[in-house]
Formats: sequence, structure tokens, C-alpha cells
Amino acid sequence: MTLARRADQAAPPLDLFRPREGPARPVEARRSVSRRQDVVRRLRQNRLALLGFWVVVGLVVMAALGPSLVPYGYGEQNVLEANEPPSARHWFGTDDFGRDVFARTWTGARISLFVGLTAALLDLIVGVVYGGISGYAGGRTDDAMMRVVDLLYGVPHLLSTVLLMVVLGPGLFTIILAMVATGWLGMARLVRGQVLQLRELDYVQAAHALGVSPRRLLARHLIPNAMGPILVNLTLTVPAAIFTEAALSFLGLGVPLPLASWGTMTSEALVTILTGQTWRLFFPAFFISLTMFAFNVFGDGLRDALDPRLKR
Amino acid sequence: MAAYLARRLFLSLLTFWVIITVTFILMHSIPGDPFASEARISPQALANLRRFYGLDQPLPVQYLKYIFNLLRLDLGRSLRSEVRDINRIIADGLPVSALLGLEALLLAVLGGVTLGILAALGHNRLPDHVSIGTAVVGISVPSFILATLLIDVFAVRLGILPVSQWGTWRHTLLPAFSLALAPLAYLARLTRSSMLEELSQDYVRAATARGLSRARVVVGHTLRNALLPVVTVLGPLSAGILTGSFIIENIFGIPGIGKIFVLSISDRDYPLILAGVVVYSALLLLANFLVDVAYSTLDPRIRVLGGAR
Repeated sequence: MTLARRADQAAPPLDLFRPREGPARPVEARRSVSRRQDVVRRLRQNRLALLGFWVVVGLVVMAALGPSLVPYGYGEQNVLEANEPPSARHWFGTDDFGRDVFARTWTGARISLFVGLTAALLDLIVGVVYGGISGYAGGRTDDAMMRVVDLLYGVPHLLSTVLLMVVLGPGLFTIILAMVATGWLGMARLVRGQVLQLRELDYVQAAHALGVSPRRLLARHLIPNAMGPILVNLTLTVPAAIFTEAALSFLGLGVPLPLASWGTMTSEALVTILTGQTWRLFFPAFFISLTMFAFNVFGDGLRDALDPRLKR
Repeated sequence: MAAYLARRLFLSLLTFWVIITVTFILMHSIPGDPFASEARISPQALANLRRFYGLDQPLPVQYLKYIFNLLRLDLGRSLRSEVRDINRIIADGLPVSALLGLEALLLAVLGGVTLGILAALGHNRLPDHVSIGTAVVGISVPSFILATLLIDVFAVRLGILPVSQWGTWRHTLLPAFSLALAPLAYLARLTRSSMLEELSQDYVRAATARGLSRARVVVGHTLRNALLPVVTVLGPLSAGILTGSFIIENIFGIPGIGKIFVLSISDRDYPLILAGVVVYSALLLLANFLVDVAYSTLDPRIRVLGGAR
């Protein structure tokens, strides 16, 4: 190998020693920004995350208003207008019972968002309380509490959810309950880790020395400071819960008929790949994917904004 | 390392036992009799049925019998299925699911890692965009939607692959890909970020300065370190593929244990549900354990630190 080639190959690292170009930023021009402003600014710069945010907003608005925009109920059948393609009368067409797909799609959005948000919120509450206590208590209590989490963590989420659905029976609330039963584990681990880290910090020690009660310490100092990762986890739990609900409903183990869930709508519309009324499949499939996309990119953006070092 | 693995093995077995016990209790706490729906059965026949399945005995006895039978690898008898012996049912379904699962796992790992490496090497260029695009699609599109889409395009419109059923390797392509995309996307993302991190390390610059080619730096130095996080997520990913088969096998009409399991649920065939849980958790805990072994073999740091922990 010649020296010239070596120098050639070593060229890229040389770039690293080039001085930074452009004028130095004047220090006095910088305003001080609070942490929250900083996070919001970083989030705004992330176009994908911003898109995700606005899509979520749009979905929520449509879930609230959508079903009342058309004069048909989600379960209203009209056999004379069965399997009609999208038109001025039926914006998203009709299904094989003549039910309006537009009304059904946005009723499905209500169910998906309700299930997703409620399950995520319950995961949050259980996880924060359990993880907070475990992390704060430390020692043997923490050991025992985390052993329980480790044990349950070995059970795949979909499996335990399906099993609980068998026992609890189908329904909107049983599905949430079945998901939360093992869904809080991740949050509990996260919160415990955060609390373990934070409680060694000086200000917590100081508060402790001043005689602040453990409950107040957790509620006022530890949990609020762990809010960033908790919020990210919450945002990413929502699409996971929405997926689980849709998957269960798709298998016929989810919300009972005639409720229109995106999962049941997709499963009912499966035959249309062969018969041709693909709009019945397209709308629920598209909106469930859009919802998962929006929550996921927003959650990712939030994570990057909260901790730029972790940027992936 | 042996102490660490022994501890992990013990924890896995404990988890296994807890899962079985809880499921057993759950299955027996469902109100009503499994035969309650069969109205036109004489009381005598019902009593015989109950005796045949051992349901006339107290619950603790039933439980001990069940555990004892499990230890002899006897999964019991199905309430509904034509082939009454659950061992037979599982033996028929497991190879099918295993083949599909392994194919999907292989596809996910090879595809995901390759895509991730290419993305990291071509940072902010075309391969990177392709990989990010795949990741976004992978997290957004649920497997059952993807499966439907694939059937529509490749089987119905193009007619180049079978719509469903099981038989030749061509039958495995669509279901395996439907199962694989989500983990593939996740792995691509993970590999990309850990590869980018490794590539910015000092040792990479040192190796380049010594005159090593880019390929040798990547293959010989960064890859091994970059793949460590990938190995850790293989356990949860296998879990995802395993449970994903509930849905995919049903869509494609594949006679694997995923389909059997879902059928057993709609049939309320409690012994078969229980057997499904036993098989799934055994597979899963095994996968997790193997991942742990692989991880501690790959990373010498774990061998020391993990053992001391």
C-alpha cells in the first residue's frame, strides 16, 4: 500500500480539524429560554413530529364531529343502498348492510382513540404509583416489587390480553382492562429507574432533610422531574393500545358488534379484495395506519426534543 | 457467567410456572360449565363427560394432575376438536408455525440489519431515506392491514403468489413478510442509530488513520459493537412474531398453532387454550433465554459484570 493511497483514505477525518465556518454567534443576542420553551422550539423544528401532532388533532376533531356530519347512524342499515361506492350521498360509500362507511369510520376513530388514550392513561397511573413507590422505597421493597414486574414482563402482551378477554368477555371496558393488566409494567420500570436516579440528587436530599414527607417528595419533586420520559412513553403507548384493540377486534375478540371498530371493519371488509368494494377496506385501513403513524412520529419527536442527545 | 445464566434459567422457570398457574386459575374461574351449552345431554352423559375430563374433582387435585401431566409432556384432551389429543394437535401445528416464524425472524433480522447498516453508511443519502421510510411504514401499518394489502396486490391483482393456504414455499412468502415488516423496520432503526454512534467513536478514527479500508473498519470493528443492542431486542421481537401469528395465520388460513389458539378461544375449548398458553410461553421463555446466552457470549463485559451482579 503506497503512502499516497493512505493519505487519500485518511482524508475524511481531516475534515474534523477544519475550523467552524461562518461568523460566531453573538452571545448577547441570545435570550434565556426556559426548558419548556426549549422543548417546544425543538419540537417545532421537527417537521415530521409537527405533522404527527396536527394529524392527531385532526383525528380527534373528526372523531368528535365526524359521525354527526352525516345523517346516518353507524349501525343504521339500508339494504337497498348496500355496497355503494363513495358518492355525494355516502362520502366513503356503504358496506354490505348498506351502512354508511363515513359514519362507521369516525365512530371507529372514537373507539380507537378512546381505547388508546384511556389505556395509556391507566397504564400511566398504575405505573407511576407502582414505579414511584418501588424506586423511592428502594432496598428490599424495591427488590420484591421489581421481581413481580420481571415475572409478569415475561408474558407477551397480546397473549395475556387475549386470555383476559376470554375471561372478562368482549366489551369496550374489558378490552381496556385486559390491556392495562400487563400494560403498566413498562411504565413502572421507567418511573422506578427515573426515581432511583433523581432521589440521589442534592435538592431531593435537601427536601428530605427539611422533613418533607415521602408522599409529597414523590408527588412534588420526583415525578414532575421524571415527566419527560413518562410523557414520551405515554405518547408511544397510545398507538400500541390502538393496534392491540384493532387486532383483537379483527380476530373477533374485541368490541362486540354492531359497534364499529377499525379492526372489525377491516375484518368484515376482507372479502372485498375478492369482490371489489375495496373502499370498505381502504378507509379503516388507511385511518388506522394514519393514526399509528401520527402518534408514533409525534412521540419520537417529543423524545428527541426532550433529550437531543438521544436523537436517533 | 454460569451463575448469571443459572439465575436467568431459574427466573424463566418461575415465570413459566406462574403463567401456567394463573392461566389455570383463570380458565377455571370462568363462570359456567364447559358443557353447559350442550343442552340436549342427559344428566348421566354430562356426569360421564365431567368425569372423563376430570372436572368432577376438586380444583387443587385437578391442578396437581395438570402439572404432573405437563411434566410428562402430556397436554391433556381437547373438548371440541376432532383430534382429541392436544399433543397431536400441537404436533401438527407447531412445525408449520415454527417454519413461518423462523422465516419471518430471518427476514426481519437480515433485512433490518442490512438496511440499518446501509442507512448508517449512507447517512442522509438515499439508503438512509429508504431505511427511514421503511421504519415509518413498519411502525404505522398494522400487520393485518399489510397482509391484506399484500394479498390484494400480489395474489389478486398480479396473481403471482397464492392468496392463502399452506403448502409450498410460495405460500410462505406473503405471511412471512407480513409478520416480518414491523420487526424489520424496528431493527433497521435500531441498527442505524447504534451504527451511527459506533462510527463516531475514536477507535474508528484511529483505525481509519492506520489506513484500514472503510469496509474493514465496518466489518471488523464497528459491526460487532453495533449489533449488541440488536441482540438484546431479539427476545421481545420473537415474542411479537409469535403472537403476530395469531392474526397472520388466521388471515392466510395457515394451519399453525396461532390459528389453533384463536379457534380454541372462540370455541371456549379451555384445555386447548391452556395448552396454547403453555406452548407459547415455553417458546418465548426459551427464546429469551437463548438471547441472554448469546448476549453474554458476544459481550465479554456482561460475562464479568453480569456474573457479579
